[in-house]
Amino acid sequence: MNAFPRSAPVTAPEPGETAPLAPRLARFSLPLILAAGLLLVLGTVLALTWVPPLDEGFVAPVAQRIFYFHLGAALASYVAVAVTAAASLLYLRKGDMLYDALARDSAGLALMFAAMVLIEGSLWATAEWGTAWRWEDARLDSYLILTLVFVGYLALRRAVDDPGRRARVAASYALLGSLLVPLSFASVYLWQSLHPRVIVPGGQGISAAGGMTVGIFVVAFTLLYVGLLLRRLDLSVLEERVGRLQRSVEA
Amino acid sequence: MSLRIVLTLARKDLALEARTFDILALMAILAVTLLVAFRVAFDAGSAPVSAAAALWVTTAFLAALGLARPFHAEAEAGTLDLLFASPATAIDLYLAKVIAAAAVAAFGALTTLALVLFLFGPDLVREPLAVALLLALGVVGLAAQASLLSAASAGARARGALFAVVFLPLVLPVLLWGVQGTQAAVDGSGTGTVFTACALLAAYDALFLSVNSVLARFVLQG
Repeated sequence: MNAFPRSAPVTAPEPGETAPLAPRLARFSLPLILAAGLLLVLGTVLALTWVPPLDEGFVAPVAQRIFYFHLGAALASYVAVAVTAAASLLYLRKGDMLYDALARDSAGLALMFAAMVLIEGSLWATAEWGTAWRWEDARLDSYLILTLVFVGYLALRRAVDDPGRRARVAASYALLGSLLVPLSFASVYLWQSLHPRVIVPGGQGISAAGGMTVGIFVVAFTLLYVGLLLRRLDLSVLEERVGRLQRSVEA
Repeated sequence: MSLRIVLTLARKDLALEARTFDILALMAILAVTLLVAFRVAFDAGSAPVSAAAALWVTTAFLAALGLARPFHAEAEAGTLDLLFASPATAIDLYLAKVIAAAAVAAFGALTTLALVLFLFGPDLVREPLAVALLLALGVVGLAAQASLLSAASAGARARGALFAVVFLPLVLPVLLWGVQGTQAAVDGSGTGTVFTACALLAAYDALFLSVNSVLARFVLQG
């Protein structure tokens, strides 16, 4: 007796299935991206010209302004990782290929935001610490490891040809990678990190203007993530439909 | 889950390896090469690598070489479908591969340890129990991830290279905590660091052994 059933053949979605939801949501993608763009411009102007510098505890208070971009991009990357993990879990439970497409597209965006975070962070570190990276910092190393895991996720997807198997192994790998996040947070707080602590009692001396600018960037990057995700998901659904039609014609 | 089936399958894999010694011999040769490369390259550049770092990096690379074998060999021999057709469940298969992989990884770690003591000096034996515990926990973590990822990459193109690409990022925390704990044990900077490293490694092992056992059902589907 075969203990493991073969994967179900990929079929075209029936009317009323979740796939048609993607095109309906995709119409919001352009307004969301435009809104994000406007907020990013506003936030940049405020961060560079309006928010008073944080002099206390920083060697390079001008470079410290990168923090406003950096935090927004970092939070967006963690949201993208969480969505990838959730979509992967939903795929394993329900087998709907839409969740696989959602996980893949979210993982790509997570990598995009992670690249921003690493570049911005390195620029700040060069000004503040005199070096682009400190390998003894647990927080930096943890974030880099998470980025490499998602690079591995995309490499795994490219190497497996069968759609059903690709979705299963990719979903499993994404869940494994996401589990590193709580472990990494635990290690960062057990071993002292050189990275500035974002969540501290009293808010580390950030002003109300600074807090508002942080909020603008967080909203901007979140809107950018959602807008790009909806756009990519719509394209994925269209690609899947074209693929099914091609396979049915060839058959 | 059947312990009898798990142990039978693990014994099968270990017997196959003991009969040919293929992968163990290659791991030993690679260990020598890597450690000599560390000494030559880093000492020539006046930035000597520590014994702790050499131990763990070499062990991780040996694992990337030797632990892909569990399911890749089955795929090459065409015996994967026979395994799936057997009474063994996915968890049985996974745990059997973990046991066999842990034995292979332990061989790699002990070989590396002996070579490090020879090439870098006897510092690592200052705290033998701490180093042994850290290595044991690290080996379990490496085996837990390798067994599942070997199955995940078995049906893929360029599976050998792909295995390394997906395996090494996931086990970098093992490397990190292993080096930190071992270095703290060697230079006596405090039992707190050693204890923290052991706790993190044990948490990693417990978490991924249990999660991977569940995910094995999906990864081992045909």
